[in-house]
Amino acid sequence: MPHFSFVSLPEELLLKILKSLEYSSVLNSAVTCRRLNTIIVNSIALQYKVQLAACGMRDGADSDLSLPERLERLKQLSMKPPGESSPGRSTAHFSILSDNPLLCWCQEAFLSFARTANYPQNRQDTSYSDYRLDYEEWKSGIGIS
Amino acid sequence: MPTIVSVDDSTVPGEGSSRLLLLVSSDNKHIVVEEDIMSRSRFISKQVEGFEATSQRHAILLPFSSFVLNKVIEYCSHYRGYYLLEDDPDAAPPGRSPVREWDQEFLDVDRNMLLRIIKAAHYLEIKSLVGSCARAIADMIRGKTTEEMREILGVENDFTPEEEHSPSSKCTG
Repeated sequence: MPHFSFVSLPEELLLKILKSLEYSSVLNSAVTCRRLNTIIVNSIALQYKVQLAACGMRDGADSDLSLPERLERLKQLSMKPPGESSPGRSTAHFSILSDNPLLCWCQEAFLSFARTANYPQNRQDTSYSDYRLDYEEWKSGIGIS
Repeated sequence: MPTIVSVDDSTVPGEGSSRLLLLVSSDNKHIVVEEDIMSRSRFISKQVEGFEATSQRHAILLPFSSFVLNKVIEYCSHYRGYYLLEDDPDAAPPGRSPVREWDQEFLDVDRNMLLRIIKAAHYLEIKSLVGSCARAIADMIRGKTTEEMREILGVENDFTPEEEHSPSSKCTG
């Protein structure tokens, strides 16, 4: 039987598969190849899933707000400047200087996650590839698979 | 759209209470199956509705191999007569649920086959099978690193080295 390529599946199917993943696997999927990256970056539902985890929150009860509205609120929450964050949350503030829109959202999500989970401050300013390695190392160090 | 061709009645054996359908795979294998079994497929159901307007029997030509088609028929046969929420067009979409035990065994095939089954299920509009396949594929890559994912899924890294390694983020506060 000839080889069948995963990324040749229809977008609807790839999205369904990605939606079955938890946020950290969604993030890893986003940097496997361009096709998955584009699908993830363009999916409000997947962005919401990752942003929710990055903010250390869970989806609440039914809301009148649409998914894009909820995502926007989450983004506003995570971008609050120092001094305006909720009690108990990190007050570090990041700006993303990437000129690569493909990876920008993934980077933001990684940074956001690290900030929420108190990733060491002195290692937050680093290249993306180093950051990914650090992220994996840091995750296994504190027992997150 | 499938190609529909007229067939001689003698090619379709008649037995049982359910009508019989003739499915023709891309490798030109003719598979006779009871309509009840395939009623889980919205695609087939819509085709059959179309047949009722004419007196001729028809064959449905499908764009996947008999090997894949037989797997799909096996799935539909197993759940014949069962109500599955995912296949109910009037039901609200179900939330995330684990792969059913039988499905897990049924989908214990290589990646290539799994991808072909999900594509066939998508074409035939069998939502429950699409859902089970999607969860099975997700389970294969859950918790894996990017490199491991590429290996498992056979995906090539098509980012440029600049995209992968450019310093790009900065802490400003």
